[in-house]
Formats: sequence, C-alpha cells, structure tokens
Amino acid sequence: MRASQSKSTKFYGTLVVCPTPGVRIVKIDEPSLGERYFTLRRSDFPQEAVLSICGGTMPVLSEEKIVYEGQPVLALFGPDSESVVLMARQFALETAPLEKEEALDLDEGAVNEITIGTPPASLEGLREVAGNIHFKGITQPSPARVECECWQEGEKLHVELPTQWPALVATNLARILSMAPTDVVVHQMPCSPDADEYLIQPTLMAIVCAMAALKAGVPTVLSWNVSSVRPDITVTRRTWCDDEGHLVSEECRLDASLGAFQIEDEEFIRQSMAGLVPNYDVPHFHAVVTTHRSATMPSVFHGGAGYSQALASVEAHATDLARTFETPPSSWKALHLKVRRPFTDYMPSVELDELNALVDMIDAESDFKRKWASYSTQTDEFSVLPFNRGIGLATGISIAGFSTSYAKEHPASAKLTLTEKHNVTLLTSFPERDGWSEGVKRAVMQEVDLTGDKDVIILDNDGCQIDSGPAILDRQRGQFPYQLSQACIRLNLEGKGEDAHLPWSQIFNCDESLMPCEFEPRGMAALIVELRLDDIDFQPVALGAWVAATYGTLDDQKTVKAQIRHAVVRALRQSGIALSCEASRPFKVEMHLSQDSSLKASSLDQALDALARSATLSALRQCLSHIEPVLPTSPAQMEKAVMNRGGQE
Amino acid sequence: MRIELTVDGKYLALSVSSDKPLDLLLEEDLEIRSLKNHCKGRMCGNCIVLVDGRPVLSCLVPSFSVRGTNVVTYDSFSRTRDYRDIEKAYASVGAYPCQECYASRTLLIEGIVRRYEMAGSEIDEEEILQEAFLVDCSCLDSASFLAVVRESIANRRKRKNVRRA
Amino acid sequence: MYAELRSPNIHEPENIAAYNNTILNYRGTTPFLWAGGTGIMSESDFYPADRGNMEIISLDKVEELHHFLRNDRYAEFGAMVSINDIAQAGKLVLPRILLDTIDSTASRTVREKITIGGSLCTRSFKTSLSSTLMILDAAAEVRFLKKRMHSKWFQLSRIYDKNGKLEVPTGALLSKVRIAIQQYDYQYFRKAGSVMKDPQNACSLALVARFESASISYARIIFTLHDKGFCYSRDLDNLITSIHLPVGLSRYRQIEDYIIDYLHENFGQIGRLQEERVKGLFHDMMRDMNERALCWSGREGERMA
Repeated sequence: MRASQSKSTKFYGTLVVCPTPGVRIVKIDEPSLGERYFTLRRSDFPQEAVLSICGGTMPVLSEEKIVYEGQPVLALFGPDSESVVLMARQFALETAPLEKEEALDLDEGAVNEITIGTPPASLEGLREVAGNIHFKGITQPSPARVECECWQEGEKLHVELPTQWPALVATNLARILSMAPTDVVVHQMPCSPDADEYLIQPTLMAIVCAMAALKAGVPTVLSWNVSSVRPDITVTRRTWCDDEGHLVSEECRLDASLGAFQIEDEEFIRQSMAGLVPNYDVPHFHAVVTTHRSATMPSVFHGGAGYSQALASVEAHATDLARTFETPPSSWKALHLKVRRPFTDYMPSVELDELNALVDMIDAESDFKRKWASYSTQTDEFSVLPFNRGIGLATGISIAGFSTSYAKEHPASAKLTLTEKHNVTLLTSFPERDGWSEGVKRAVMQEVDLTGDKDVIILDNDGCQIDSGPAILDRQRGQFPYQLSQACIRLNLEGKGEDAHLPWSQIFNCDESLMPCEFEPRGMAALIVELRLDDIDFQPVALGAWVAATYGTLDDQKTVKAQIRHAVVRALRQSGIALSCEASRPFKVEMHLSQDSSLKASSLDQALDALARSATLSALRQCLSHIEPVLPTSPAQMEKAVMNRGGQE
Repeated sequence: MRIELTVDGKYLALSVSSDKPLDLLLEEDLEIRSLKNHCKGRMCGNCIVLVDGRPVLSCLVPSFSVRGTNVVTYDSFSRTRDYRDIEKAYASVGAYPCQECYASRTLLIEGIVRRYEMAGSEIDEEEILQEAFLVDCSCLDSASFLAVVRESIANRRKRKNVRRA
Repeated sequence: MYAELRSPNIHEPENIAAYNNTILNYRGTTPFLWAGGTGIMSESDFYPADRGNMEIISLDKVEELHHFLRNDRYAEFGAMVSINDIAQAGKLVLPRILLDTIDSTASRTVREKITIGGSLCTRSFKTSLSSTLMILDAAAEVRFLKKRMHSKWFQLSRIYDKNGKLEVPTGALLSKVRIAIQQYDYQYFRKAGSVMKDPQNACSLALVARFESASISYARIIFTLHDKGFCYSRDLDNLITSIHLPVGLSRYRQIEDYIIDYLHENFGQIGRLQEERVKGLFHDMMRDMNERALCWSGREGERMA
C-alpha cells in the first residue's frame, strides 16, 4: 500500500507553529534553506485552505490571524525528518497583537435552555444549596508520533494516515486540491485513540502533506505530535429546599469553552442537556447551556461531548445535598430518587428504581455507610486526628453515540458483504479498541450463522472512503451492534436467498436516525470510590472502586469487565488521582454486572466516566471540605485545601 | 554510524545516527509497527522492548549502545511460546491491556516473569506493583496487573517443569 | 543523510588506560561522558540535535567501572554499576536508608539502567541518591586531566556546591564511589512528588542518627529540592544533634523555621507546595522519632532501631 520509493526519494516535513494566540505574524525569519528544503505556506494553496469539519471550518495554515496556541503557520520539508526538525527550530516568528475586531470573539457560541415542571410561586423562606464544579480545559500532547504519507500514482493521490474519518479527509483533500473525490485514496492506518487526537489534526496534516507532494512532485511524509483537547466546563447549580429537606426548585448553568472554532457546538449542547437533568425528585428544573470560544484547538469530541461532565455535576451536587441534610448519599438517593425520569427532547422517560438496586449491590460490599459516617467526623470541629480519607458515590444512566439530529446531518456507515466464498466482510473505519473486533466477529458469526471454515473478516477500510464515525463517543459498543444485527438479518434474508447474486453487500447506517429523542438510555451504573490523601505530598490516592452496572446483553463478561476497568481507571487518572500500589491493598475495581433485556444495546463508558469523576470529587470533599471543586485535581489545590482546613480548626 | 545488531531474529547492519533513540530506529528505519510512540524520555512506557532478554524503555537507549545486542520486539515475541504464558494469564484473570499499551505491557510482564521463572524464587509484590506504573496507561488497575504477573509466572513455571519432567 | 552528516563519534574504551588515552587524544575538546544515559536521553530535545562534531565516550565497556569491592569497613562500586545491582549486592550490609532511597527511584526496569555514577552527575535535576550518599559520608574517586591524568578521592559533600552543581574539573570522570559500612540507630528517607514529572515541586528528606539515652548524639540530615539543590549544613546537623526526645513543639518550630530560612536564603523564592512538602517531610520524621522515643523510654537500655 505504502509508496515503494526508497527513503532518499521522499521529502520529510514538519509544521512550524506559533506558540502565542491572539497575534498575527509580521515577519518570518527563515534560515538559509538551500535546494534540499522547501516551505509550504498558505499562499501555495490554489484556493483558500480551509478545513471543513462537521459544519464548521478552520484554516489549515495561517499567518494573518493566529487564534489558538500552537496554530500551524507553515510547513517545512527536507531530505530527512531529523534535519527538518533542526532546521524548523531556526525559524523565528515576529508577531504583533491582533486588532480588537480581528481577535477571537470569546462570546461567540450557542445557547440553549430547558425547563421541566412549573416554577414555584416564591422561593422565599426556602433553604438554598449552591454548588459548582469546574472541569479544567487541558491540552494533552499524545506520545504517539503521527505520520502522514502522500504519493501520486497516475491520476490518483494516495494518503496514508491514522484517522477515524477517512471520508472526511478525502472530501477535504478533493475540495482544496480541486481534484475529483474518486482520485483521492485514503489508506487508514491503525490507531487506538483515548481521546480526540485522531480527528481534526490528522486531517489537517493530510492536506499539508498532499499539497507538498503535489508541489514537489515526489512522495512526502509529514510528522507531528498531535494533542487532544479537553473543553473547559463550569457547571453551577442552585437548589431550593424546604425545612424538611424536600427539593422544590433547581437552576443550573453550564458554560463551556470549546476552542477557537465553532465545530458542532449544537451537539455539545444536546449532550450536555441530556446529562444535566437530575435523577432526584425536584418539581421544577431549569438549565441553560452556553458555549464560548477559547484560544485552543477545537475540543468538541473529547471523551464525549459534554454528557459525562453534565452527569458528573448532577451527582456531585446530589452528594452536596445529602451532606447538607447530614444523610449518607446512598440513603438520600433512596429517599429522593424519581420513580421515572421525565420525558424530554433529549431522553425518553426511564424507570429509575434500578439505580437504587444497583447502589444496594455495592453499598454493603464497600461498607459505604459506615465509612461515610466515619470519614465525615474528620471535618467535624471536634476531630483531633488528621484523618485523610474519603468515600464517594454516584449513579447514573449512560448514553452512547451522537444525537439523532447529528446523525441525520452527518450519516456514518459501515459495509457488510457476503463474499462469493460465503465469508462475511465488514468494512468500517472504527479503530480497534478493547477487543472490539473480536466481539463484533462473534456477534456476526452468531447472527449470520456461519458454519464450517467460513469466517468474518473485519476490513480496515483501506482505500475505501467509508466513515463509521469517531470511536470517542463509543458507538461501537452502544448503537452499532444493534445496527449491525439488523444488517445481518437483512443479509440472511437477501444475501442467502437462492436468487441472490454474490458478492452481496449492504452499506448500513451506524446510527439510529429515527429515535424519537436525541438519545436513548444505554445502561445504568452505580459507582463508589474510596481514596486517601497523602498529607505530605498532597497526592490523592484511590484505594478501591466498586461498580454495579446493568447491561442489555452480557455475552462476554470478561471483555465487559475489562472495558469497565479501563473506563474507571482512565477517569480517575484524568481526575489527577493516583492508584494505590501498596502490596497490602493494591487498587482494585470490584464489579457486579446484571442484565436488563429491555435495553437493546449498551455502552457505559460515558456514565462510568461521569460517575468516577463525581464520586472522586465527593470523596475529596469528605477529606477536605474546603477543596475547590476543580477536576483534574492538583497537589497545589490539595495543599491549599489542607491549609484552609488548618485555619478552620 | 554503522550498527550491527539482531532484531527479532534477523541480523542487521544499519547506518544510523549514533545517538538516535532505539525506539525511533526500530520504528523509522525498520518499520516495526508495534512501536508508535516517542515520548522523548518522558516515561510514557509504551516503547518497551527486550534487549538481551531484559525489558528496556527503548526511548532511553541510544543506538550505539545496542551494537551487537539481541533486540526482541512484540512483533516477534507474540509468535513465541513464552507469549502464550502471558496471553493465557490475561484470559484467566480477565484483564486485558488496551491496544495502545498491549505490546509494551506484555514485554514488561515477560521481563518480570524471567526474573521469577525459577521455581521457588520469592515474588516481590512491591517491586511488581512499582513496575505496573512504568506503562503510563489507564487500562489496568494495580491489582489486575499483579494478578496477571502472578498467573504468568505460574504458567511459565508449570510449562518449564513439564518440559523438564 | 542525517546519520552520515551529524552522527556524534562514539569511543568505547575497554579499560581505564584506554579511557585515559582517549581523553588525552581529545585534549582541548570536551568529550561527552556517557554512563547509563537515562538522564541525558530524557532531556527535552535530546534528539535530533546538532552534535556533528561531538565526541561521546561511552563508559559501558570500561571494565574497572563495573567492579564491586567490599570489606569490613566499606563497599566500593565502580561508576557503571547499576543502582539496582547495588541494592541487590548490598542488601544485607549497606545502610537501610541507601536501600530505601534506591527503592524509591523509578521501577526496577529503569533502575537496571541507572548507574551510580550517572545519577551523581545528572545535569538537569538533583537526585535523592546523591544526597543520601552525602549524609552517609560516601566518597568518590575523580579522574581528571591536568597535564596528565590524575585521580583523587573526595567526600561527596565536597564535590557539589550549595545548588547541587558538580564542582569537578571539566571533563572529569567520577570513577568509583565508596560507601562506609556502618549502622545507625535511626534512619529516615522519604520523598514527596515526582522528580521526573514535576521536579519544581518535588523534594526528599534523608536523615541518619545515633542516640545516647533519649538524646541524639549524632545526626546528619539533608533535604533535596530536586530542581534547586541540597539543603545541608553542619549547623542544621548540630541543631538536630542537640535534641532530647521527645521533641517539644517550640523546639520543633525552631528547627523548622531554621530549615525554611535556610531554603529561602540559599534558593531564593521557593514554591508554596514545595515548601509545604519540606515541612511535611520534617514533621513526619519528627513524629516518627518521637513515637520511637516514647516506645523506647519504657525499655531502658534498649536502642531504638
């Protein structure tokens, strides 16, 4: 697949980026390049080099307006990757601040709101419980070296890169380079993303690399260290309760900074809305979600587009409410859980009593109530011993995939084929993750009833521009199996018929685009985290986690448990928590799984991520009641909270 | 600089910069696909290979120091019987590393197993748990890693004993 | 292409005599001495870099630097002995504090690559191992070129300045480290924070002490601020040495104030987190000492160990 040319016939490239946002490049001091190097600038493109992605646009290379940190200014190509990196270090960018009208409009974005129930006549005399939670926006460089290679073969332009959106890469290349889409062949390299690092940046690299290949007339290779960007989100909640602790009304506001360009803000809002609606019984609820611009790369798809942070805010607030009324969260939830979650445009009505059953499953095992009471004494003013432990509980419903509205606008697909030799092939751009392909193979084997030496082959989408959508939102474990199962049924009916012509193929949609609501519930979970704070290095250390979860189907418990473990550990580490490595008690995730056949497909990644974060914050607040509710935590934040505690005692 | 070494059983003579990190040499010059990270010594732990049977972070090893050594990457290790001991352990414990760190984690475990494969040598759990954090990935918890290592050691000892018998 | 144009020259002497010859051949230049390489290779932008004319002397094959010698009084390690091998070989004889310091350094896989010589000569950060060896009165043999090759033994505490910078002649080789085999009544080592990931906030504390009744008769204490240097002074040792256990609050505060003043005086402004960690380590050590003293006070004549 890759060009067979030797290394000496290729040009290797890197990007020269501007570290400061909010400036324009006044002058570029170039080193003496010689004939073995060439640069690629914005002016080298035949037309405006703008990357078009999910209805939004962003420039590929820019000199006039640098709006985010690390924005590419130009590309440098040379005889080998090392020389190019050394040469690129010699470029000096002279900058000047942008004029006010040119600068990024930080207020630009979208707003949406939701109201459930009727507002009370008056809030006078009611007790107000306010809380907030801040998810810090972080740009995380990936250690993976991303390489894109481009070469021409006759009329065809070949691009090899790790991406989750091969069709998007091809469309952008064809548009910017004024080529027929059929002349662009994208070869998808394997990648296993943990965040959104294989979405936007590889596409940008492909455009630069392809333009350079056309300019130089030889194959080019572009290397760059990509990053994933987490949105900066703040959620504030105010709940009004009567003297007996009954909730009367709640107001909520979510503000998110999603990066320098508006790329699918609407989807972020839909997901956030779905997550913000509380599961506890409050007669009136009002929420506003606002998105803003910020001087970072767009961050729309990091680990879900807002649902997990929104759900985490609900659960952290539920613990605050329980603490206000001096009740263990498990008991408070049992008292205040709604019977049914109300129907909204974002999620259908759901029976919620299962959530309490899940809590019961892990409550006793983790000794939650006793530990909660015991650790609560440490914040008591009579406490003498410097206890530094905390335990937190969170419960919630999961969603998976994109909303119905998004799926209608940006269809994602996969291709199922029954070959002439009666094998089945599945063509998809989903990257392999947590043994996904093995699970899919098993499912297809079962559905299609393959016998003998027949096999299911997962094709890596080489050269065929089919976009199955980003794996980040975990569709493969959520909606995809259901759609695949429907496609298999069709294959059985049509492909196996006597008059069927083989190979028989069907391109099917990865999303259910006809759901009445934006999202469907994809399983439920309860999670408890216990941690201790090291009072010397101020590092919180997770001692254990307990998870109870309900899935629609549970064919392979080991794989599901591995997925749960991965989701919980990832969320804890991303929250700044270390894992206990004491030989006497190494960190462990205890799991209880149950099945609910009413859920036709399941994916708990989004919920587990949210629950682990909120349980962590609740546990930290038990150690240190004065801690700033910011995730990920840092030792400096812990130190500040410890000092505040000292001041209070 | 000319460097002669054995990689995955193949004897090679390469011309590379003497200070080029081993991970880049394997990835760029030999196109070994199981290595795709280059954290530049920031301890991401995803570049582990076996050099003369011992696990090393290949981003911390310069090319000149591997002259005449035997380098084993996951690409060839995954075809050995030793690998089966670890693969079986993943399955029996029910804990699988993610695709991103699978190769590195497996070679790290192999390195640990080789330290303890002699029956009777006492397993130092503290030391193994310290090793668990060498691979900076979120897919396994500490207890699962320890369980996989213990199981792998047991599998290896059993296999070696059967062979001796 | 890069490989041919910019590859540093590598020299691999097989013994000290060959090393001396190499150094003499490149008199006037500053060859780069390469031990385990873990510290150098984790520096940012290590590769690629313009090292076309650089001479690297790899010490890996110098036989004498891999030697390990032990008698009743001391253990002597060649600079290229890995810290893991030191811990293995000296498990039963070396002071506990040294083994604790080694155990706290990365994981075994990395320790097998870290050499004792390399960890005493790091450029971008100070290691806990250097400070622990300093309070154990370890000495190092330094080989340096001054018309001809010389070798001389120095106390480790004399080859660093107060900021932890090595003060040896340019191009000198730290060839051997000698550690006295002696036991102490009390040894404490602990570190806070990650040296590799967050050196600006990391620190460690090492202390060895001997007791007479409930008094400390001998103490050596050192704080390491990994990004700044060592906090180590005779005055501080004397302050600890005069302690009668258990320590009261006012005495404790006096010593703590002295330590913090010392840090500010020598290193200027230090971060709040790092300062609190220093205080935390000191507090933890004093609490531990007091606890032991209280246990011990009931058992006359018994030594705290």
